[in-house]
Amino acid sequence: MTIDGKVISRRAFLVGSATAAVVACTSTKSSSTTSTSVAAGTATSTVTTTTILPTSAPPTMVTTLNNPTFTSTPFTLGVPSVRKAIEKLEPGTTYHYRFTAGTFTSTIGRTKTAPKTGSTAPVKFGFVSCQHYELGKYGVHAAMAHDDIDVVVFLGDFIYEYAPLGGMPREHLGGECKTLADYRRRYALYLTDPDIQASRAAHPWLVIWDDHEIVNNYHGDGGAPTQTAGAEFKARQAAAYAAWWEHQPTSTPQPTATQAEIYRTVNWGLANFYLTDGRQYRTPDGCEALADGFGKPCPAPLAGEIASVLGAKQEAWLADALKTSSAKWDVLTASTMMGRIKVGTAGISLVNLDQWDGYTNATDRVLKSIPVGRDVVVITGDLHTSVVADLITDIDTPAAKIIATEFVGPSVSSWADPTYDKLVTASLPLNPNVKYFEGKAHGYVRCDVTAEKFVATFRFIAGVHDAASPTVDAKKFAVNAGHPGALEVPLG
Amino acid sequence: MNDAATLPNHGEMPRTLTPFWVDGRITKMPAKAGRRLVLLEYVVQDFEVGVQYTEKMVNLMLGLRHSDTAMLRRYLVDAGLMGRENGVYWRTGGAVAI
Repeated sequence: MTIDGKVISRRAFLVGSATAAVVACTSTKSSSTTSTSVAAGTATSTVTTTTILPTSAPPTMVTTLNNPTFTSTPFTLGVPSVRKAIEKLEPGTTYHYRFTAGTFTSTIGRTKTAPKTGSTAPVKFGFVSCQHYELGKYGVHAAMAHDDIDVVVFLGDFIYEYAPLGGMPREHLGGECKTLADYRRRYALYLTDPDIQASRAAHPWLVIWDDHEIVNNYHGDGGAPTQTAGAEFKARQAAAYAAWWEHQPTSTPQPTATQAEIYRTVNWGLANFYLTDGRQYRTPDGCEALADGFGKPCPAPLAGEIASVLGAKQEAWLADALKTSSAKWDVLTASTMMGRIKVGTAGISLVNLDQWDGYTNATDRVLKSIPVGRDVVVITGDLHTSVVADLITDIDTPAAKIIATEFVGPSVSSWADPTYDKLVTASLPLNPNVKYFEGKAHGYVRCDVTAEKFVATFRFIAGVHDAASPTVDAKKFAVNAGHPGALEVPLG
Repeated sequence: MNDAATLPNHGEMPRTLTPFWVDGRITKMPAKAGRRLVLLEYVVQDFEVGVQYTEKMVNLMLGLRHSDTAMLRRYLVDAGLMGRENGVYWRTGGAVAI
């Protein structure tokens, strides 16, 4: 049963939440390594999923969760996962589970159901993105696994489609991913990592995708100029989405060759999470198609087309969800940064067109759809840097009003580009909306949400090549309810 | 926090370059080749070793130091501090922190 499936209306979601809630999954590359994980669900239900190599797949799997035993979907030869939606659970409750089948027993997973709708209990969550396997170990996941958070929000780039870079401490298997078999093998590789396994087994997850789940910087019609387009791209897209669904703890509907909707609302007590798809419906870059993504800001839409990151239908869904929300905090979850960062000098400055900066009108539309008085926080990733930014409409207008606050989380392991770090650091005078920028560190953002404030702590690891790296809290910002805009607060 | 630019800092600039350098920006290019080379060796450290840059990115980076990015680009290539081929640039000289 879909539990965090796309919410068409608030009412429909609430009805759904009364009967659904956790998707757990376990994955294996070999029968000795398993990864169990659970999709964050609702107050009373969950979906469990397990993935296993077809060659070792027993005919059926059974999920055990606090004594009750459930029969999952049967294995299908060639399909690397099974899953089970479990209902009639208690809200705000921790459950443990595992999969067994014949002599196979998965690792034990833990999950927690969402609190009752209307709950005012504090919400604790971590968010993160971007975990290129070859560029570092997953100490960030090890840290999150031990953190006392309710839920992990993963903002995309779970895998990278690239062929091996060569000469790295650990390497991708196979070449660049293009087929279902390629993508399945890549997920299997990533899920052999013990720290990803630990993180997925420790907490329920909310997941969206970004570009590297298919190919770098793609939009709805294909990739960048050097990449695939047309029917070839559509086939690759369908393969990539199918593999994503098989390996992610999500209760979104199984993609078909022509349909793969993942945008949805999940309520977690004080917070509504709006999980968006910033790739599938995206129009081509607003102005220039550039290999490095940088160009001049382009407010004018392409001729005859509305430039959009979310697409018209998803934008309308989001506007309606925000309009009808009764949650204390609305957390807009997107893969790429929504706020503006100019790089350069007053004389020559460019923006990253792969971010919402390439779609300035779309940013304005979304921000203007936020009803007055709502407390909205935007969480994003993709940049491999940490940013705190105030979100304003008509960004070039002096003294424009702050509408919402954005936190951009660092990467798990993906490359923090030193050139981008230098450029942005040197360009901060052009960006008065940016309250914080850190361009070198890897880590995650821990968020503590109460009715009064939304506090984001940037938690960095000391070394990306050390899976046991200690963490340090680097910066902390708060947004006070009723007062959009981030304020730095003391650590501790 | 954003009142002043924080330009990459690669250490102290020699005092002989004081007339040409204010707060990390080049005010005018020295006429003497020796002094010019010192400035260029400083500026090239803004670029990473082993990274290929488009001309647009080179201009963005050089624009942090001086508005005449074409002049700086040409000087860097002529001095053997940057390589260039088919619109792609890469660093070929200057000090490297170890």
